[in-house]
Amino acid sequence: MFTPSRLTLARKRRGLTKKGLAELIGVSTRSITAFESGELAPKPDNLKKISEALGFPASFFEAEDLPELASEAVSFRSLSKMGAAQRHSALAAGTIAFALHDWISDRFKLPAPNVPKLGPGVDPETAAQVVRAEWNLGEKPIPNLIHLLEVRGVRVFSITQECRELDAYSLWRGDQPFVFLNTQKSGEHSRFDAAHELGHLVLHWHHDVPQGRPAEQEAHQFAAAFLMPAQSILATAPRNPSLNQLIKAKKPWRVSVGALAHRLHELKVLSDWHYRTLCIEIGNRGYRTNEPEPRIDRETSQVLNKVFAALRREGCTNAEIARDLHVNPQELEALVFGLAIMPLGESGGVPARPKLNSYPPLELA
Amino acid sequence: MAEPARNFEQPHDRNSRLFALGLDEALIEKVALYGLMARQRCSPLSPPAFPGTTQWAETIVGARLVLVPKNWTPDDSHNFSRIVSPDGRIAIIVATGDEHTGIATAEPRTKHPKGSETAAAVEINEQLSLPGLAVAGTAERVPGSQCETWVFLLSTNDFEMRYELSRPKTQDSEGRVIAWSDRIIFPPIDIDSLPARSDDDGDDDDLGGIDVPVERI
Repeated sequence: MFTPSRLTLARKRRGLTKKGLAELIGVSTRSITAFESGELAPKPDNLKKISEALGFPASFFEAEDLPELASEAVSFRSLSKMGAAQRHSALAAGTIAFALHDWISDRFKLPAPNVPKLGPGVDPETAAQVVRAEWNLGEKPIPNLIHLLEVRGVRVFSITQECRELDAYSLWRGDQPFVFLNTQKSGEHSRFDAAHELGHLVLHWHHDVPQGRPAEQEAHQFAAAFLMPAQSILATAPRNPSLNQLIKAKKPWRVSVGALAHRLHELKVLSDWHYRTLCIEIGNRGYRTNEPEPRIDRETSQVLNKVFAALRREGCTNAEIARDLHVNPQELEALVFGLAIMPLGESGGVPARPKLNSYPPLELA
Repeated sequence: MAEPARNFEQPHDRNSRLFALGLDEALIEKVALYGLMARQRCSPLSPPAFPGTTQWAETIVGARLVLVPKNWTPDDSHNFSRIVSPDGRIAIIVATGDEHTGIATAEPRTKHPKGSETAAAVEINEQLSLPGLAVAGTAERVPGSQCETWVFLLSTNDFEMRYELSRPKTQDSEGRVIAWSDRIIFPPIDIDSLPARSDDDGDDDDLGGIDVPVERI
């Protein structure tokens, strides 16, 4: 039995228009429309072509409906930079992540969600303080933000290769918060993104329309205030620092030197003039694209690593999970890329990293 | 040889002495940081005296910002900038000290000679400390002459800021305060770097130590 919505999902996952898919498999656009509306079911040879062109097993198109992720529910970072195809692809990947999440939830008990939802109108600085207070974090640096999110019940997945221009996105699926991170950015960048998405979850949970610049700015302020709480920063930040002092000072906060400079300026520890001077120097030394030492190691997922380690011990393979979910193993690997190691291989005993060379070459910015 | 100052340097002593003045350490530190931050914001292009003057002025501003809500009163009569406690018995002024400021074993002085208002305040301080003697003479001349004056004494170099809240006792012939009856001495504030955290240099695995519970069903 053909499930039309799954064709739409798979097509969007690959960032294709109906026309694009039609051209790939040599049918009319009208036919694709008919397949997706349920007016017609594709003949076996067309289904085979679709399956090959889109890289989903034929069984994928015959499984039950998957609820489509509406873009309204999602807070996209850098939305303006992103084309519709990429956005659709990211959302479709999210839908597949839900399927993986549900598969895991059926087998593992994970921490229950405990993320405060604050009323509209709460300013980001206050919101960050409230979340810190609720989570008993005091004013200290946060050693590992992904672990913190996970222990508070947020599920963290990786943004897949096709959507790498995207920094991160997040959403509430019912009462369950999700964060998707681009794990190909620097550790500092990705960590700041995670805090940014937490800001969206806390501040913008009530939004039901796509959010614009003000919401992005709020999430940004939240992230800075959450990672670098005002009182600690005011009490300990270097006064009138040189860039080298600033680089030294970023270490406990595990943020980029640029983020620390911005925060110090925001808190008025740095004057406009001083901040400008530092920004120019940061740019000149190339630190905007290449974070200076000490750099942090990328944060990884404890939940996913524990789950996959347990499955590996039981002899469960990546291919088996993929088969259950009717997707290619690569599709799953992409969802945990940089966050965890999946139980690759048929024997199930060999821990291995997702194969980077199975993806298109990295694009240099 | 004059009697040495009573030092309040240990946290407990410091806090109980501050408490008697209606103050607390967190508040004083906030004031110190307020002035220090203003100093640090001064551009390297400013005249050399400007950072010190700025710090002095902004420390007064900071003290008023935190104390006015507690019913203290700013007072600038005779261009002598003070903040006076709600009962009128304590006044605080701000002054820059020499390099001995904040060091319990040393005897700090104000960096600059002080004017006639400071001299009058020091005189009242002395009379107030004489047991059983009413404050004579100055009582008619200066309203609020039952008020003892404390100096928020600051000294800042490239590496740290040292500060104390001290009750002046004696001035030299030029008007510098050279002796104190009480000194409440605070830990210095580090300027050039973050204070090192002892748990800061370990492996990432040691950091935080969050264990996310994941249970096989």
